[in-house]
Amino acid sequence: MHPLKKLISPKYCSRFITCYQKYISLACLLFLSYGLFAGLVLAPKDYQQGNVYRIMYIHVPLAIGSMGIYGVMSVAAITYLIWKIKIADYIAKISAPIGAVFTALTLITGSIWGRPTWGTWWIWDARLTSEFILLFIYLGIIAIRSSIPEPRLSAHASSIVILLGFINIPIVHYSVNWWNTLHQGASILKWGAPSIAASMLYPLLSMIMAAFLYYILLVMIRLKYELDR
Amino acid sequence: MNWIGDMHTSFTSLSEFLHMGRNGSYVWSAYAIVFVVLLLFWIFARRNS
Repeated sequence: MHPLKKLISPKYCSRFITCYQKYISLACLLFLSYGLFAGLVLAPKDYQQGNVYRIMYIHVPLAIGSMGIYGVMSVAAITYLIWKIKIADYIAKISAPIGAVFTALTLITGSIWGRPTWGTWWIWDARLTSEFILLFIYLGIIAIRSSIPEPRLSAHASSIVILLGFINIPIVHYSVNWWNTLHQGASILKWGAPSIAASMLYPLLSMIMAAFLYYILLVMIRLKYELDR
Repeated sequence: MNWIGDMHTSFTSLSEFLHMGRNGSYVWSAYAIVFVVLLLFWIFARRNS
């Protein structure tokens, strides 16, 4: 059997998850431990913001996660709509609440960071507003899922809404370039080298990996449940 | 400069670390909210599986 076909077979996929779940957990803990220690203790103070910039080590991974998870959902939605692969629909279904939590936490941590640096908890600036819209897109997808009882129709409808909502992802990402915003420009996800000192960058990359692995782990747990029931 | 920085901590005492330059309430509340929510979400996901 083709390796990809083998991986998407429910039985093999469930076995694969059982086998690799503990390694993913361990890797997540290692990245989290290093990221937290280096970000909170070793990284130097920012010359403008002082120590409050350390909120970045949770805010940025969650923000990247909120967009990345939507990207995964979009790929899963296309895969489901074209090839009708059930696992793809499960991944989209499982990812929506995780993405919603990541987005809500991005907004909350951003708001907490904004108070001492901008002097306000909230402002209707392009980045904040587009991220807020992303939260409502996630909630809309969850609502569609739970309001349509017929599984195939629910999967179909939510896949279409996911793809329609994808238009917001480049808007979130490029909002800081397209509009005059209070939010700072991209430091990592941009063309060219990251505009951040290495001593601050490494812990940040580690925390981004930890957030990514946390998401993978949750998807594995929920996917195994969906496949085994 | 390497991946563990220059191995010097940014703080000289625990209280300085906890105060985070008078921004401790912002920094620690952000971390607390995130870790509590993610932990509860993790427990909830496991319990429902």
